[in-house]
Amino acid sequence: MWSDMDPRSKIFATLCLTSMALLVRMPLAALLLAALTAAALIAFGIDPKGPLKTLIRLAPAMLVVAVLQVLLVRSGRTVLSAFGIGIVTTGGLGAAAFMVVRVGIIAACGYILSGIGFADFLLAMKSMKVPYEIAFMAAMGAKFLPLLAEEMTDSLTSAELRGADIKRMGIIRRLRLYSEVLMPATFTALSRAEGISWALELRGFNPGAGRTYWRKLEMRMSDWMAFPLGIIAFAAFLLANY
Amino acid sequence: MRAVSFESVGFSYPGSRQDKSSKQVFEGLTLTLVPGKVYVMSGPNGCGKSTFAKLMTGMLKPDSGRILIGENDMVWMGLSDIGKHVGLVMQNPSRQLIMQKPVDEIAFGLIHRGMQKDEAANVAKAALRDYKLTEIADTPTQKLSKGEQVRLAMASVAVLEPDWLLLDESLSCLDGASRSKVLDKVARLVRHGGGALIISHSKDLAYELGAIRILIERGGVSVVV
Ligand SMILES: Nc1ncnc2c1ncn2[C@@H]1O[C@H](COP(=O)(O)OP(=O)(O)OP(=O)(O)O)[C@@H](O)[C@H]1O
Ligand SMILES: [Mg+2]
Repeated sequence: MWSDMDPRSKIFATLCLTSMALLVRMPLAALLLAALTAAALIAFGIDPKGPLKTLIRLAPAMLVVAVLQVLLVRSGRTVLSAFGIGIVTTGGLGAAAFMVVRVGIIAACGYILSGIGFADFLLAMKSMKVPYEIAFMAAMGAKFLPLLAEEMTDSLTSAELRGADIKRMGIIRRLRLYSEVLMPATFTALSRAEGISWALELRGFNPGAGRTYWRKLEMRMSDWMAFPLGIIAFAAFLLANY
Repeated sequence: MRAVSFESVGFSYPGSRQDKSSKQVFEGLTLTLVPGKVYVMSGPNGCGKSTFAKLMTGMLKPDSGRILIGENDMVWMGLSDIGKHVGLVMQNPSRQLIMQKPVDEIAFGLIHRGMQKDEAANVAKAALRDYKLTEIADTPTQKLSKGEQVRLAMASVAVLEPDWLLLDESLSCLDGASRSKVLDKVARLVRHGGGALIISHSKDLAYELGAIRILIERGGVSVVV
């Protein structure tokens, strides 16, 4: 319905949601926050299937962290004990659940932000008086992160084809391989970003000069609503949690 | 040395987030590549040549049908196993280079296949000389020119002696001398019973090599001897 909402209200909404996700302390608030994020996704016309898929892909890593938290956090009531030693506590379960909610909300925000087009993002930043160079770097980062991931996958595949058995490798060797693979991938991503900014300027895209843009950003009623809504939610959130 | 067979292979790329429809590249593709031969594959841009090469190295998995190396279905083989049979030089070789130093790049596979470090380094240095890459032995791999990257990628794959060598548009960016060098290597591999698939837009290459031509059109394949 509002999928073409102004990028500024999207950026504002994700700022609110991520900071609330990082600050949240009460279980009920975390649930409400998750619901609010879902509502925001629907409002911005984003299919919740995408963020869910990201969550599922992250599931193994999150499971490891969750198990560690369940085992290491010693607070609250003991739920499960063996040989008189408490193993699982409510505090541990809570910490794990919070972690999952936080990761989920941040993934959802990533999707909201990635729905903003490159040019729209730059325009929004310009209208908020963010220095162009910073805005451009941020936009580049967002644009090239998926490419970086793709490039790393290719390098890892070529490593495996040449006999590196990643699944059976020890953790040290695996980390070393990852760091080796990250280097060339970062290099290509950077040189491509440089190439793009050259190409943009050669085709007359001069960020510094006062140029006119064909497309104008317009804040509509629904956009203006995002701001009070976000502020009210944030205030209520702070009152409830602290 | 084993044949590679595509048996009614279907493949499509999943749709992107913006555009939901998936992109069908192959449907019911059946084709057997027998060792001891050179194949030259051509077809219009976007018809699926690189996709074919990626399917043949297990980087992509078919949606339907199967791909066999000898008798083995590739779905059940690990990449590290497939790599013993098939070596690929990608259309964009910078993506397959891993290490900073060219020598380490060539030694990488040798070490992972169980060779001692110093022996691997010696083999790698010999390969650098062989492919006329000694001058750039100290240049970081990502800064090499495309032609140098192609030769380095080729050397890194060829030292592992796979049955099949796949070159995805690799010849088009090589100068005359390097091109003959690479074609020499291909000819030697084929004499020893291996096979090669060269993806190229050149019409004359197949005649030059006495190779079997594979023409890919959008959705369909025809083989011309
Ligand atoms: N990762 C991908 N996701 C979606 N579509 C893709 C992807 N990679 C390739 N395609 C599409 O699949 C089709 C086949 O691509 P492929 O790279 O195999 O073509 P090609 O024959 O190698 O072309 P060229 O001659 O330009 O190298 C193209 O239409 C391409 O746009
Ligand atoms: Mg191609």
